[in-house]
Amino acid sequence: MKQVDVNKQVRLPLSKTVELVVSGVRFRLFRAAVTVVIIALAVAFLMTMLSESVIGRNVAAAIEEKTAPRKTLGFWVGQLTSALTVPKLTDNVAELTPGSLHWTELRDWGELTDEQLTRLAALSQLKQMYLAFFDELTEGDRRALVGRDLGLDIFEHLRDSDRWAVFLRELPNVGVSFPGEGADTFKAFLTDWHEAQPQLGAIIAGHSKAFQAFRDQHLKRSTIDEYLAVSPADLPELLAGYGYQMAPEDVATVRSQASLRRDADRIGKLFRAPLVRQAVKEAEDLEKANEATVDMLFELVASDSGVEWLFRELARMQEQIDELPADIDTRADQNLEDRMIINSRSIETFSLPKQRVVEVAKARLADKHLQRVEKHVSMTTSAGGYKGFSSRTVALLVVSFMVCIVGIANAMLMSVTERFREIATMKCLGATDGFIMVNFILESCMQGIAGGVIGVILGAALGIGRSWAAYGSLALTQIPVLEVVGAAILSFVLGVVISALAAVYPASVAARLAPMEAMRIE
Amino acid sequence: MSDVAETNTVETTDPAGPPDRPVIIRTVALRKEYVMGEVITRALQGIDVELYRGEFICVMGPSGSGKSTFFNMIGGLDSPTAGRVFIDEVDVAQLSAVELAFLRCRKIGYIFQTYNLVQYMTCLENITVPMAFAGVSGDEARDRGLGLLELVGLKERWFHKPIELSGGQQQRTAIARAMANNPSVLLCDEPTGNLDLKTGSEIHDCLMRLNKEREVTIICATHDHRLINKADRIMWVRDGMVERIADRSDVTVETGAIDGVEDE
Repeated sequence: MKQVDVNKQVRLPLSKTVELVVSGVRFRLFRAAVTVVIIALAVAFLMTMLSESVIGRNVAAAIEEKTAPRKTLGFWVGQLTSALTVPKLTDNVAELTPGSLHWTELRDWGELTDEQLTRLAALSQLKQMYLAFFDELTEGDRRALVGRDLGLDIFEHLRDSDRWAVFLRELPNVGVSFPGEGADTFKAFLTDWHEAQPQLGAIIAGHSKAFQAFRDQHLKRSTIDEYLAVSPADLPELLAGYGYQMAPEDVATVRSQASLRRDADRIGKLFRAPLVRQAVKEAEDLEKANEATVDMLFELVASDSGVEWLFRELARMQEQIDELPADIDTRADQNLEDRMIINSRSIETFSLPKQRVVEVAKARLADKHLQRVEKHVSMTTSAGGYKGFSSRTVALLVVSFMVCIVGIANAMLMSVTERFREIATMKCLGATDGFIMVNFILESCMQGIAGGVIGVILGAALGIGRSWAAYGSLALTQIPVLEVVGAAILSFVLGVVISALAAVYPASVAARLAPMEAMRIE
Repeated sequence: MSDVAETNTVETTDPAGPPDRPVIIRTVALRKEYVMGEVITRALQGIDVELYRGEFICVMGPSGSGKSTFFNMIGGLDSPTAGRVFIDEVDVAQLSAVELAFLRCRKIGYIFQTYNLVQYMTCLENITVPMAFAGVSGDEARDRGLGLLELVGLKERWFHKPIELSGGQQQRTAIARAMANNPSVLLCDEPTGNLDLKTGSEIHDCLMRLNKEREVTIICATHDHRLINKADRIMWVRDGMVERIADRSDVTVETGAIDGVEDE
């Protein structure tokens, strides 16, 4: 037999392959476009989810930072003006960092040791866990377990042996699994909890003494905001005299936040005057004066032109008040007298400079906005799951990509079956199985690239747009460019990879096609 | 290429030459069976033929005779159940898939009844595809492609897509494509089956010219008596067996009917 002078078939250069694929795709442009749309939708979905998630996390972090001063003030106003309760105290204790200033404060008020407070902290965490369980129950289940009790009453009443027996009997029947290590641990907790009450009471009493002494000393003539807004620089030392432990760096924060709140309160007081309400009603073009809200007033004065309007109106109202004859018979109209008194009191005592009004109004609007966004963010990011995605979202993503794979595979299979003759002819002309395979996978990859690019652009626009709608302008300033680019690359690559994967089966069908199919006549 | 050089050394083109002239395709006890469920179809039941280099042989046979299977075997498109096929002294059964692709690319040109041009390529692109598979591209492929188009008389239409051409023009383009890598064998499956008489004649002339000028072996399945009249030899296949092989001269003498059809 003659030795084979047949060599290995030449491998087609990639550029030539791409050229052949491109001309083939151009010929079947419509089908290719449909496939591209499928890929683009799946990629856009993923990209939207990813970009929304990274922006959401950034916004949450930014909000945390921005609301920290307000929360510091809130904490101190609470500390200085109101008594602790057991639920509030234990919630605080559960999140205490051992050795922190608040830790020392509470320990000293309660005259406890560090060990005792550590134990209280552990108990408080258990309390939160068990209460969360009772909160999750349906009304019927809770009734069955603990009757009409709510909150901490549950713990106290379950110490009764009859009630405990009912609880044990009904526990296996409820739909929510019991947390911790079973009923015995819970029983032990109930005892511990009961025994811890005196210590909690001691802390509450210690604090109560402290805040009352402080109130009697400093809040006789001013509100807490007014006091803190002009508080002395040695506030921490002053408070230490009552047992409070304030970090020196908190002083400035507390002072500026308190003065903002005080001034916002002053602007808000203006709104009590019927004349001001009337002005707001006219400015906002409302039907009735009682539709006007104090928020509208803040919105109106949050700009230089707005504050000019306010001061013009105030001057006009002052004139109106002054013009009233001094000897008007107010006795005949009690209502009129009341209105006049309120008008003159709130308008005449108003003494903030224009610049400050704008500043305070802006700060208040920003704060309102932050509160709204915060609520939204905590709703969307507390869902848990992978990378801030809820398991539901992950499932949706997986399903969408599976649908996408099936869609691409179907389109490619159709592309193969309608080209049986062409593929077979190519094989007669010397195409190897590998070439056919590469040809189809490349075709799918190119559709994947086109779909990926479109999808990423679409998804980024959607994700940013949705974040904008949800978080407002804060979202636009908090776009983590690197992470969004990362998300774009991930979505794009995933789009191309699934396109390639989906084409494997159709391509192998094409590659295995016998060249003699070319001879077949329909 | 070595086989081209060899072809040039063949001293005689006499159709009635001695039986020891160079063989291009040889089959030995070629059998092919298709198994469909429990039914075994014996498409080829032992074919021993020798096809000579440079000859023009027509293969005749009713449908179902195994003619197509025979074509697939000698074209390297399918593997036999038993027996052997030698193409240019190479046992096809021994070749790997990639080597078969090489063989199909350079040794054999295929011409189909339905032309099978790639619809989205121009004439010239269709012709340069097999060249690309053989590693020839760029200007060289274009020049060779244009040369082949000139050979079939379509040089002016190189930029047309198949849909813009008549059936005869498409088939001539397909012939040019089959000749792209200078194969030794042209395998034609009913090349004029879809064409009218006049256009069919053009294709016949084209094939004859290639056979005479380029000394390409042409194996042609056909029912067209005019083409059969021009052949060197005629082979009849029936029930998966070779019924008869005869030189044209013998046939002309014995079956005047073929001449009769030709005169019409």
